[in-house]
Amino acid sequence: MTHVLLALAALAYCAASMGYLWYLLGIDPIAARLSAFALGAGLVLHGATLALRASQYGFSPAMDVQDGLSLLAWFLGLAFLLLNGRWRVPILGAFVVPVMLVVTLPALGRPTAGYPLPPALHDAHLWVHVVVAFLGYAAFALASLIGVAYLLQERELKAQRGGSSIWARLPSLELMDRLNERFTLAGFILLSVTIVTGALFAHGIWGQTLSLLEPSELMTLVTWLLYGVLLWGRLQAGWRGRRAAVLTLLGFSVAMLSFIGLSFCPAGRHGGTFE
Amino acid sequence: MIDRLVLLGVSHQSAPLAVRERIARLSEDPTLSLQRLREVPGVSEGMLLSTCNRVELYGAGQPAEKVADGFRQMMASEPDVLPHLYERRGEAALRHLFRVASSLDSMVVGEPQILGQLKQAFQRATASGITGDTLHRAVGRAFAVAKRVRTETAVGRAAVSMVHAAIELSERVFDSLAGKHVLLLGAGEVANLATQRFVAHRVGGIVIANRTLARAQALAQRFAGSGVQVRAISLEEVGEQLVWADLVLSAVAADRLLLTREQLRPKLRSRRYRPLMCIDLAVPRSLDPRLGSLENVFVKDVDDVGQLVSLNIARRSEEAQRAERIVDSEVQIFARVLRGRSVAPVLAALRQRGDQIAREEAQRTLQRIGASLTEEQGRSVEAMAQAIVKKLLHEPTARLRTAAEAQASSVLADAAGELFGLAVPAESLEAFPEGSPDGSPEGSRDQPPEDED
Repeated sequence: MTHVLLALAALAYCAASMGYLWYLLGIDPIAARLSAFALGAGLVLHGATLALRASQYGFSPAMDVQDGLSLLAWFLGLAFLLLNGRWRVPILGAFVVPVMLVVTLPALGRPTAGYPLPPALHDAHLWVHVVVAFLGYAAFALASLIGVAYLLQERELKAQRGGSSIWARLPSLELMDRLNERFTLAGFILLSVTIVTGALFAHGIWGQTLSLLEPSELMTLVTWLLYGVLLWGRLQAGWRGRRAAVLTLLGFSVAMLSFIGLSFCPAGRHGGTFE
Repeated sequence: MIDRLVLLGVSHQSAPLAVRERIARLSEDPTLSLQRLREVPGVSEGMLLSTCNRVELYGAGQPAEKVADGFRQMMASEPDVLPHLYERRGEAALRHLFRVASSLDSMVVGEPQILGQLKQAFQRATASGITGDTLHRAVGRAFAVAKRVRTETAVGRAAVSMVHAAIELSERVFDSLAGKHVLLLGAGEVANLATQRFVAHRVGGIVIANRTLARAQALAQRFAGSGVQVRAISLEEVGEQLVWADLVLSAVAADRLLLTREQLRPKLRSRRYRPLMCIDLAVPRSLDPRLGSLENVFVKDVDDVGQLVSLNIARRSEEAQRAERIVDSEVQIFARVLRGRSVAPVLAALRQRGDQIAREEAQRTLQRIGASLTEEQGRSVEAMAQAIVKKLLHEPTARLRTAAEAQASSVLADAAGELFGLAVPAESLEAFPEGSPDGSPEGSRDQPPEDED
């Protein structure tokens, strides 16, 4: 059941991706509206999948990489709808939705059975930690994708003979830089909350707040520091534009590395057997 | 009549950059007046066109050499420009006038202000009563030609769309120009256009920097009370503006870079790396192309902007060529019409003489044998006399007209007058009854807003 729903959601994302790319190429402005509908439908189906899995396997569905990515994609989609509703930048859909599609796909290619949560993790507070963490990563992901769009527009404007390439249709550098800043800040706050709740949670279970020997936790701190430096630079030293966009991308790469790469480490609190 | 047209002038086209300031000074010289123009020996008509890039004296009179010499003396207050003066007569002067009116001779081809300036120059001359038939016709036609060029080619849209494109390009850096600070280099036609647009966009402030401070002040003054603060500074003070400016637009004729990478670099920190858009509409460049290598600084030159105007360079020169062809054909038509008219009095006299002879001879014949003829037969005799004269004169009149239209000389017309013993008053060769006497040449109704620079 969840597989069928998720497949339909992926199909909707696929349609929305093509629509937004169509729009980016400047072929038809109607494509953006149709894509928004397709994206909305996809998010509803995807949300239903996530809810079903959560009810089957406990509070948090995000217990393996596939589920994690799937949840990330869903939050990313929600964040984009929020962004588009407030700033009217449908063209960024061409950057966001294809990524959502790619990130959702792994969840389709694995057995439906979930991991039974170890009893220690049956805690009502766990979902706060998980949801906040994924919302934070979704915000960073969106900031990074805006950063990519920024770099493309910037390269176009820096070029000595820049003409009428498709990137000219992207939002202004000023707006994209502001959006990048907002979503980075949102992600940073959410990540801070994640770390605090995680520490409290761990203290309750393992009697120890933070273990720097735990690769995932170490990488999370590195990510947090990176984004912290970036935000400090923005506020204090006037870092912005290209520099900020590149740092956002770097920060997100580290975050993804810690999320995907380290989930394959067999032992740890965030993966494997949760011992 | 067209041969009486004389032009002496100096412009950015004929003078090197170093002399252009002299032209601007000359254009403000009070001794260069219509009053003095009237006193030039041999001049019967005159007009003074002066903008900051151009000082031109148009006149009609004879002998042309004397008129040109008189004009030259009027410009002697700036000896530096004298070697760069150009002199045109007759058709060449007419062509130049048409090209100036059509903005083909402008620094930014297609800028619309020159037409308004020409209109004002003509009105001033008309008001002082020193325009006559030659200038009325020539300037009136020049307005019509300019209108044709504007409607039939894309040349007229170039300057306006350059400013528009520059703003469009800036809006890829800034979400909106509202509240942004603009540094404008230059105070000419394009600067004026740009200021209008910036004011319409409600920018946070405009600083106009120009070599001649007074000119920048005059432009700034024009936008006083527009709701946007517009200030004037000299070019030397540009460095101080680099900290707060968001957009630098240059539309100035300069022989060196007015803003270099080395100048801007130390300011970046105090700017807090805010984006800076530099748009260089000047040719040659006035903004350092290496500015673009600085963080968050973007520089675009006239070619980049031109690309956006959807007329690429090839197309733009194509449009200019089309405009030139319009000017060429108009010069020819105008000259031909005038020459055709110069032979008209001879033709009229010839026809009148023929008519008279036919009538007299028919009368004489009828008096002798009229009694034996019926009324109808009498009319036939009259018709025959008319027909013979008409047939006889047909070929010579046709040839006279063609010859006159084809070339300037009036040899044939003079010969005809001589051969047929016609007394054509010399003055009537220049007389044109259809001239517009009220000083409002055709095509002057829909001129752009009056703008002087």
